[in-house]
Amino acid sequence: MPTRNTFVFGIGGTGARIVRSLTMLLAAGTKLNDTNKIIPIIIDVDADNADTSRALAALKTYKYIRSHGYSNTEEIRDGFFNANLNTLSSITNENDYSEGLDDSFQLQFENLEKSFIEYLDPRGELVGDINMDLLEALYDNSSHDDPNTELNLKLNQGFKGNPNIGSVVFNNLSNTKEFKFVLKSIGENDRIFIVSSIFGGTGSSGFPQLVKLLQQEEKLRGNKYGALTVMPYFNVTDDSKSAINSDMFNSKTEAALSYYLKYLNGKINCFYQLWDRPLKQYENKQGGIEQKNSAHLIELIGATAIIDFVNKPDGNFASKGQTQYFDFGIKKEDQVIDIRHFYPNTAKTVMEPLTLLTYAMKVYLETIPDMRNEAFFKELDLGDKIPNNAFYQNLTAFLSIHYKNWLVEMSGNERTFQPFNLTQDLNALVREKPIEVKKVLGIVTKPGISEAFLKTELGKLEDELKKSIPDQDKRFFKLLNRISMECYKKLEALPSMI
Amino acid sequence: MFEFLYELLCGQNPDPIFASDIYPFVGLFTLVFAFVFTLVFYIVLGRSKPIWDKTIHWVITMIILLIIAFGFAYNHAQTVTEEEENSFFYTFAMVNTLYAFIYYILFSILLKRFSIFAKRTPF
Repeated sequence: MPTRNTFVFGIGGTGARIVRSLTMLLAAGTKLNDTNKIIPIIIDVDADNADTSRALAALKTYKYIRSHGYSNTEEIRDGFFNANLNTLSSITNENDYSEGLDDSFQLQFENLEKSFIEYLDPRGELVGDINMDLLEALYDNSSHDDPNTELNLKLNQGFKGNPNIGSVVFNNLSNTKEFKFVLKSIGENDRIFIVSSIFGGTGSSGFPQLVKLLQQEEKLRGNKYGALTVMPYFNVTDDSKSAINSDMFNSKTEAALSYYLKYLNGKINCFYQLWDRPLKQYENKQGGIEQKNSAHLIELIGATAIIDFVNKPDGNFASKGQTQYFDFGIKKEDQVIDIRHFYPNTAKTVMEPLTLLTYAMKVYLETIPDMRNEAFFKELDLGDKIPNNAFYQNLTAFLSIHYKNWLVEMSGNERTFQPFNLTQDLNALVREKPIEVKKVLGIVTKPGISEAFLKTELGKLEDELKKSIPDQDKRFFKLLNRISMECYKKLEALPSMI
Repeated sequence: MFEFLYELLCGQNPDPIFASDIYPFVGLFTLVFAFVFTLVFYIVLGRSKPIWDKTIHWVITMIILLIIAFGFAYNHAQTVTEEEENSFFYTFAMVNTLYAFIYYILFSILLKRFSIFAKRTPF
């Protein structure tokens, strides 16, 4: 049994969105080598950020499905939701110092329900003091009443693209009980991965601060560190009332990269960088429940960086004090990207599991509910369980809300990622690779993935699995895995470019 | 055994040929036929494809079996006794149909667990 854990810190909105994509890839069954647990820790001061909320909800649902879809004694090596994506508090059994820790994927800051100046000077002691002059020289306070000026920004709404504020607040991260627990619970073989954007406020300031805080601990200096920095891949609309201005994205990126080069070089073993020409202009939302950016291909690719880092054998890292830099490329520049655009390794490790989960999603949501009269449906008591049982409710929520929406959002974003024809039947599901349906004299001789095929396979598989898996829910979960593999056999192989 | 079963419901027939020839042959034939019908329904078809596995299919299969059981009993009694008409033939055929029904139910209970697609048919 592998004992290595990987702690994945997702900082800010982009960090949360990439953790969301990671959740989808792991739900699809992307394999992780020699890894016990993946501990995602989302760090976002913007408590109501919709991107963060969605990522947290997906993680919570993932955790529930995994814990109920497999038995505790089973060693889970493959299949949907096989990776042990878990909360910080799940490592309680191994360590005794987690008292009072929430069972949450989020790391909470304290005392952020105030403006930046109130945070720095809670008792108003600096009024008229020379230090206030210094603060006003460093931070914009041009209009005392304007909540968008730097000193007046409400901190629990995020740093709104101001890393100079974030770096101050992030210094206090080390005082939170969750972070203290993190420091204690990272073992010598564990790996640490930090995801952030470079062009906003929270991620760009949080990343170097987090590295600094972690490596202040002597015992954590020998761990393997990976980081993903996402450079601008979208713009926001101009809004004079907003503190966020995408004209500043490139200059902020340049400044942050110079800083990283100077202060982080050699401290991170694997440095992954992602960038795309911004094609999409999002609405300028400063944070909170309104900041709900659609999922983007870049975030999926960002999640593959985490997989790459987690699966890297120990011997493949550069020697201590050296940083390896990684970029990601696709075969061909296009506006609409599908499975054919990826190189074989990504196709095999990421696109194949996604295809399997998409087959399972369609079968579960669209086909199985119409099979009430089939024996497998009755044997598994699905008529009662699908609407009423918590496991099935979570599975439905994950597939119909989290996973499907994630695919739909990417297919509507720019650059468009459209690997599947979600509205078409199972034979036409994989874009650019329809399963051929053969007819002779108008009679279908090779129907591909037909309803009859699914009924036959579901019945046979359920009968086979019943011998080894007595529990109905766990058997159904395995059945979903197996039926997607049968569908994949009909597809034969993923599409590729000629 | 079959003599006992038929005489239980039909009453005793004065012609000894019923006890010696007709009851054993019709009884065994009906029993084997009921078994073959349930075997085909639950195992042969019920394990290959989900095409003949629902309650309606089970009922149709049973009706065919019952018609055969009735016709065979009536016809065999006519052939062996060489009589054209006899009200006892009708009673005997009806009783045989009832036994065919009972055999079909019993074999269904026995064999349904070995089916894949019909293991919940009809109950």
